[in-house]
Amino acid sequence: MRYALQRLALAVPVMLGVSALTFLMLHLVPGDPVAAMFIGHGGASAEQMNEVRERLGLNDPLPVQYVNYMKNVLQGDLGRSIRTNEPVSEMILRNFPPTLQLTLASMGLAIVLGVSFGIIAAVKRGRIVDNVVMLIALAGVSMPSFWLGLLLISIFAVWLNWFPIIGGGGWRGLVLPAVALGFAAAAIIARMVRSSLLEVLGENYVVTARAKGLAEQRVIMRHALRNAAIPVITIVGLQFGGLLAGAVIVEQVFSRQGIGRMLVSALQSRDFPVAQGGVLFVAVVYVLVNLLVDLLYGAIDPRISVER
Amino acid sequence: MAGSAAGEIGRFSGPRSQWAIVWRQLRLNRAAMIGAALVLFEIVLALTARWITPYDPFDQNPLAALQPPSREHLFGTDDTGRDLFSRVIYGAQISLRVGLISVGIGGGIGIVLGIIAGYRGGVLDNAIMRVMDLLLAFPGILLALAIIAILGPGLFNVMIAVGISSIPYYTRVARGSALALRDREFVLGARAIGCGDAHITWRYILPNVLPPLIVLATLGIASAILTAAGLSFIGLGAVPPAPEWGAILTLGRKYINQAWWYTTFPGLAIAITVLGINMLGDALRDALDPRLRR
Amino acid sequence: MTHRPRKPVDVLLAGYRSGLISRRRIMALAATMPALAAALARPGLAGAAGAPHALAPAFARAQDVPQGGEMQAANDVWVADTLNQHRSNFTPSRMVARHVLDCLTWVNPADGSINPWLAESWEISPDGLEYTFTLKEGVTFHDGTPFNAEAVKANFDNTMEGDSFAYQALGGTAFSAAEVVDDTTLTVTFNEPHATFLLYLSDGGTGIDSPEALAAGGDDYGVGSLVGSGPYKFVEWVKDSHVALEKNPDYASGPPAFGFSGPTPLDRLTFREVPENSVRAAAVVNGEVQMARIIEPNVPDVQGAEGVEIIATPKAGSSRMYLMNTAKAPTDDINVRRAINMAIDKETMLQLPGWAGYGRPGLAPLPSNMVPNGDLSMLVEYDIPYDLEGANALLDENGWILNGDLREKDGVQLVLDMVTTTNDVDAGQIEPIDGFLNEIGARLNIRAGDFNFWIDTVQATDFHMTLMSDSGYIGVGIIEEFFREGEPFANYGLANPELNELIDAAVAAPTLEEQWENLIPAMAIIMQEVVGVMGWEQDYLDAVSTRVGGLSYNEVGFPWLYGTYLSQ
Repeated sequence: MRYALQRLALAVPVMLGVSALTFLMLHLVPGDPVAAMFIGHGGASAEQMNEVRERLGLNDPLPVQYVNYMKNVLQGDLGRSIRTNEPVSEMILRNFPPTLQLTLASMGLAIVLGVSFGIIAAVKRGRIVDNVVMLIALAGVSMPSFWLGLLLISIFAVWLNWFPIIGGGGWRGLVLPAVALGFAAAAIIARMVRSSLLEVLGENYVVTARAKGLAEQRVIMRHALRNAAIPVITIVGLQFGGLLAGAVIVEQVFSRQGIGRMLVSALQSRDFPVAQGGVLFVAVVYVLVNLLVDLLYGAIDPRISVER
Repeated sequence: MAGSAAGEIGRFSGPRSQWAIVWRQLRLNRAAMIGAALVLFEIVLALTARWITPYDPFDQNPLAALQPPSREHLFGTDDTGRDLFSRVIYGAQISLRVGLISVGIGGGIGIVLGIIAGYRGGVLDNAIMRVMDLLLAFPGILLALAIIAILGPGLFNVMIAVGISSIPYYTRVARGSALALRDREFVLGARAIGCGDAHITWRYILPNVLPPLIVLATLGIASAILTAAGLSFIGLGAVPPAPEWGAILTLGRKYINQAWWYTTFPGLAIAITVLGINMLGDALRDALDPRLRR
Repeated sequence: MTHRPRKPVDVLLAGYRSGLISRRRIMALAATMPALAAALARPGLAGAAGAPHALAPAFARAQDVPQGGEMQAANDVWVADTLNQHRSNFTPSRMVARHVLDCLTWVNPADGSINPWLAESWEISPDGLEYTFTLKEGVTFHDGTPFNAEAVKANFDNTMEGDSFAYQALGGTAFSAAEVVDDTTLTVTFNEPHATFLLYLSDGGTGIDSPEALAAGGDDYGVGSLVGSGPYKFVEWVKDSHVALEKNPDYASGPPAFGFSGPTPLDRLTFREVPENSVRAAAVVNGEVQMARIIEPNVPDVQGAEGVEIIATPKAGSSRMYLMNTAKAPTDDINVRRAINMAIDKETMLQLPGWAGYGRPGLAPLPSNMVPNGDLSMLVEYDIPYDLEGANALLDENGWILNGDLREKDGVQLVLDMVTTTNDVDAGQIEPIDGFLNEIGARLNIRAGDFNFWIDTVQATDFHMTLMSDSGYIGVGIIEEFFREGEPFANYGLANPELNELIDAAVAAPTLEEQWENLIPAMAIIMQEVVGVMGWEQDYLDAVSTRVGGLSYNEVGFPWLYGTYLSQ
C-alpha cells in the first residue's frame, strides 16, 4: 500500500510537467493563434484581435496563463478547436473510445500471439521452430505498420473479401487494423517471453522441479511462466503506450476514427488547442497505464515493494 | 542491462581490448553476418546511387506511367513514369541519412547529458533525469509529432524531432554506466593523480560507457528510419518528389489494387533495411552483454 | 470508359451543344448511332439562352420502381463543419442537406432552365431590385410546422445573421429585406441587382428549414437536428463517419419539372465518409457501398469490375487552374508565366493516371459547361498552346540563362513554390507539372498541407503557383472571388482597373445576359495577363453499382438521390 502511494506521488509531478510542456508547445509555435483564427473570415482590425486576446487571456504573463490553463484543464475544459469551435474535451471523448478499442484489441492479440510463440520458441530452443519463430518476430519488428496495413487491406479485404474494407462498426472491422498495429508488439513480447523463459528454465528451482519428476508441461506452466511474467508485464506496459501512439498511423491507413486521426488532422491544419489537448490526454493515459503496471508488479512479486 | 555491462566494463578501455573478443563473437553469429551484409549492401547502394541507377530518380516520363516491373524498369514505374528502382535506391541515401542524423542528435545530446548526470550526481543529476522522465511520458511517435507541430513538417524537422525524442533512452543508459564507473579504482586513481574531469570523462568514462550505447544507437537507427517513414506516410515528413521510402508509399497507396509494385518495393526496402540493422544490433547486444552470452 | 446514360443520345447532344464534343467526333458517332443521326438532323439545336448548364447526365425516371432498401454513398468528406446551411461553407454539406430540404426553385441541369419548386411562380421588377414569390400551399416540414411566407422570411433573416455560402447566395450586402405579404406571398428586395438570385435559390444552401426547429435547435441545429420538407428525413450525423437519412413517406412537394413525384423509393440513405481513396473505390467494387465519388487514379480499379460503372459529370465551377503569383519573382515576369504555359502539354497530361483520360484541356477560368451555349470560341485567340521549343526560346531571349539544370536571372532561380494540399499531390495532379517544368529549366518546390494550410498560405501570398478552383453554379461569383482586386481569394497580384470594372459591372448587371456581356471580356483580360495555366475542365467521377437506378445529378454535378432506387 505504501508502495502504491509512493508511485502515485511520483506520477503527479510527471503529469504536471507534461501539462506544462504541452502548454509551452502552443506558445513555442511560430505565428499568432489569434490571427490564425481570423484568416479566411475577412480579416480583422488590430483592436478586434486585441479584444480577442484579452478575452482569451493571451495578454497575461505566461505563468499566469499556465495556472489559468491548468484550472480549466482540471475542470475538464481543454479549450475549443480554432477550426470548428467544438470543445476539445468533447472531441477527445468522441475519438478516444475507437482508439482504445483498437489499442486493446491489438494488445490482446499481441499478448496471445507473443506469449504462445515465445513459449514455443523457448521450449524448442535451437530447433528449426525456434529459428523460424524468431525470424518472423524480427521481421515483425522491422515491418512498417502502414505497409503491413496496406498489404492486409489489399489481400484480405479487397482480394479475398474476408473482411470489410471500410473499418467502422463490429469486430470484423477491427481485425485487420488490430493485426497491423499489434504485430510488432507481438514480436517484441515473443522475444521477451522466450529470453526470460530461457533464463528461468536454467535456474535451480526449475531444475529441482524437473528432478522431482514433474511433467515438463507443468514445470513450464507452474514455475517458469510465473517468474517470467514480470519482465513480460513490463514490456506489455511499455507496449501499450507504443500501441496508443502507433494508432496515429494505423488509423490513417484504415480510415478509422480516433485520437490519432484527430491529432494528425489538427497538426496539419495547425489547430493547436486540439493538438495540445490530444497530446496531453494521450500522455496522461500513458503515465496512468505505467502506474498501473507498476502496481501490478508489486502485486505479483512482493519482493519489489520491499526492495524499493 | 547497463548494470551488468558495467560489471565487465574496465576491460574495454585496455589496449588489447574486449573488442577483439566481440568481433570474434560476431563473426561466429550467422544472424550478425547476415545483418551486417544487408547494412553494408545498403550503404554501398546509397554511396554509389549516382552511378548504378539506370535513370534520374526525378525524371518523369508521361508515356511510361505505371508500368509493371520489366527489364527496363526493374521495379516498374510510378504514376509520372519515374523509374522506381532508381527512386528506391536514392531513397536508401535519404533513409540512411535520416537514421544517422537522428541518432547523432539523440545520441550526442543524450550521452553528454547522461554522463554529466551520472558522473556529477546530485542536483544536476536529479534535474536532468526528471526532464527525461517528462520526455518519456510521451509514448512512441507522439513526442516526435508534438515537436513537428512546433517546427513544422519537412524531412529535416523530422530528423530533429526523432532525434530529440530518443534522447532520454541514451541518457538513461549512459547515466547508469557512468554512475557505476564513478567510484571504480581506475577512475579514483586517475583523479588521485590530478586528472581533470574532462580528461577523466574522455579517457576513462566514455570508452567504458560506449558498448551498451552502441547497441542502443544501432537499434535506434532502425527505429528512426521506421518513424521517419511513418511521418512521411502521414504527410508530415518528406515531401514529393523526394524519393523518401515512406513518401513513395504514400503516393503509391491509391494504386495498391492496380500497381502492386509501387508500394511493394519501397515497403520491402524499409523492412529489409530495418531488419538488417536489427539483426546486427541484436547480435551486438549478445556479444557485448556477457549475461546473455551462451 | 463505361458511361451509363439511359438516353445516350441526349447526353451526346448536350456534350456537342456545349462544345465538349467536337463536330468531327459527333459526326463519327452519328455514323454508328442511328438515333443520334436522326436527332442531329432535327433543326433548332440550341441551349438555354442566359443560364449555363452543368450538363448532368439526364436519366429517364420511372414511377414504377423497386421500393425499399438502404443505399450508401461514399465520399472522402461529406460534412466538414455543420449541416446548418445558414452557417455552412462546405459544398458537400450542402449537397447532403439538399436531400432533407426543399428549395424555392429548381434548375434543370439538362438545360439550365429555372423551374418552380416551393415557389410556384415569381415576378421580378424591371430594375431587378424586387422579387415577388407565390409559394406552394399545403406543404409541411418534417416536424409538422407549416411551410409559408413567414417560414421563408425566418430562414432568410437567419441566413443574414451569419457568414456562410447561403449569405453570399442571397446577395450578401445587396440583400435588403424579405417581407411577408400574406401566407403564400413573399417579397424580397435588394439594394443592388442580384441577377443570379433565382439560380442560387435552387442550391441546397438556400433550402428552407423548419423555422421552429431552427429556433429550437440553436447551436445544435445542423449537428443534432435538421428539419426540412424534403424527400428524406434527418436521422443522425456522426462526425467523421456518416450522415443517416430515412424516407419521408408523406413527400409530395418535389419540383414538378423533375419527372418523378411522391415519396422516394429508398427506405434509408447513408452518406459515408471514407477518406482513403483506394478504399472508397474498392468498397463499391465489393458491394459495401453502392456509390462512391472516386479520384481519377482509381479509375482502373473500377473499370474492369463487374457490376460497377463510372459516371462522369462535368463539374460546375471554375476550371482547375494552376494560378501564379504575378507579384512575386520570378512569376512576376509575364514571359516566365507565358513560357510555363507553353511548357505544359495538356493533352498528354490528361492521359496520365492523375486524370485517367477524363476532363478536357482548360481554356478559360470558366469551363465550357459554365458558359452560355457552351461557347468559348471567342476566347480561343488568348490561349497559349503547347510549344516546348518556343518556351525555351522565350526564356533565352529574356535573360533566363540555363545554369546546370536550372535557369536563372539576376540571381533568381526558376524554382517555384507550389503551395497545395496533400490531397492534390496524392491525386497525382501536382508532380506532373514539375516534370513539364524540368523541360524548360525550372523546378517546383512542393509545399503541401491540408485545406487550411493551403488557404492560409495562399492568402498570405507566400507562393508562386497553386492549383486553384471552386465549385458552384454561378460563374460571376467565381470570377469575382478569384480575380476582383481586393476580394479575399484574389491573391495573385492582379491590379488591372479595366478587369475590376468589368467584374463589377457583371456583378451589378440586372440580367444574366448583361452579366455574360461583361464576364467574357473579363476572362479575356485574365487570359491576356497570363495569371496561370488554365489546367483542365474537370469531371466529377462516381463509381456506381449497376443495382442503382433512377440516379440523377443536380446542376452542381452532385448526385441528387430523389427517385433513386436499388434493384434486387
